[in-house]
Amino acid sequence: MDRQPGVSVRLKLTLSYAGFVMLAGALLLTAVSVFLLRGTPNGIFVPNLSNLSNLLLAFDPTNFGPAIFGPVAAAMLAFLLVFGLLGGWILAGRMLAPLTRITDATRMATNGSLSHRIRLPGRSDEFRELSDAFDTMLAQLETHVAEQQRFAANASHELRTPLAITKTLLDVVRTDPNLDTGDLVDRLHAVNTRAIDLTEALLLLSRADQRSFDRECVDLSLLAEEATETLLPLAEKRGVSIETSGDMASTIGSHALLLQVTTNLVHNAIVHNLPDQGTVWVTTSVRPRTAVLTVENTGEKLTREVVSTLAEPFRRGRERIRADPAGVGLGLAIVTSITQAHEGTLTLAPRAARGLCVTVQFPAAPPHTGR
Amino acid sequence: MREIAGLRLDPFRREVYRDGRYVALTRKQFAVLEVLVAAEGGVVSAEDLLERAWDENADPFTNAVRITVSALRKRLGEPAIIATVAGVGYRIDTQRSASERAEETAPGTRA
Repeated sequence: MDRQPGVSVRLKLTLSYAGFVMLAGALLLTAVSVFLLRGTPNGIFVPNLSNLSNLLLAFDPTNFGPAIFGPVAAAMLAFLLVFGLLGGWILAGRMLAPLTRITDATRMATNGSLSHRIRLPGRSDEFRELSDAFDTMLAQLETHVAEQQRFAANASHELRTPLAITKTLLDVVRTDPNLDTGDLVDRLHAVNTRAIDLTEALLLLSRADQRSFDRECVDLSLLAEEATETLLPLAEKRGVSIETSGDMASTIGSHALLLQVTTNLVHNAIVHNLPDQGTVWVTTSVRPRTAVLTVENTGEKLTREVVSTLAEPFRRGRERIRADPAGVGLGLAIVTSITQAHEGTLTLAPRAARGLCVTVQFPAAPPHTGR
Repeated sequence: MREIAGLRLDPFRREVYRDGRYVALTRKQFAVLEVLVAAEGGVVSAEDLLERAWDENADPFTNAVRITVSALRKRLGEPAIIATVAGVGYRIDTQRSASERAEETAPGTRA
């Protein structure tokens, strides 16, 4: 913002210090004159400044008495003025020094250097609090920006893969015109589908992050059954059985996005399961203020460390496995982001007997909003 | 609009009411109920249901029909309106629910 140039805070503080010192001095001298020098001629209050030696009498310690009061008072006030201005200037400068550091740090942050910290030394006071709050803000901004950059880098990398495969396939067909095109078209189709899935997942993520969606009353148990219906063929192909149970649990949100949450969780539970005879349990329940969706599955033994990294984008199971056809690696990242957009919480925990238990809690819909 | 045994189906808005109360159903649950209602109390085999409510690519050994029918039963509530005919299939139980409803409502209508 452009502003008119103004008086600096240091000068304002200095003037007010000096002003107060002068006022206090004048009051004190007035009190002395009123109570000690009552009855003496008024002439003594007006120092005769025409003769400088007259004023110098004030600095001779052998002089005393009412006659000398005027020059002494004038000399003291002059001294107080200089003392107030000088002391005020130095004091204000010292007090305001941390502000300069904070301003410098802000300027650096504006220019893009988020790694700089103010770290004001000393005990807690208003300026330290401000600088600490500023440091915390910078740290958060820094992690956020780093996260975004990593995400963008990963996303472009993932997007490049199908495009690179497409290019290779096209190169192959150009060098060998007798190639079976049916097979090639199938493979191109698969690669293209993957690229579209990934792009759609990214779009969904940004839509959830911006929180631009319609809100309605949504029953989680119906979503659980819908997700099960959609994914049952996949589950049966992998020899996984799905058990859906629970009460009606209503929350307010986007039907499409919440269905995505349920589908992603059930999909993960099917895909990251035992090779055969696996089970997925989808349960819904209502607590006083929350609607809860729980997706549990059998599977490998998971440690807390592994579980804590599962929600990171582009991570599939244990590693970032390129060959895994399971998905684009954004499933849980999407779930996290949609859950946050609905003021919900996502909890991942290893099950005692192998496998994973995912719990999503949403604020329960107020009663009588449903049909 | 189709009505049978206290069920009212709106095929265009895909809405179901049981005794005037709205029942939220998933797509497959609605499709299954639509087929059963269209049979007007007649028995529909699981194979028929699979063919008409799912697509032709459905795995013939799938549990989808059993799972969907059991979920549908739960959604429609008590008294149970879909009967299993052992070894044959499923049908809408028109008699029992109709007579039960008559018994339930009879004292109220007289008073």
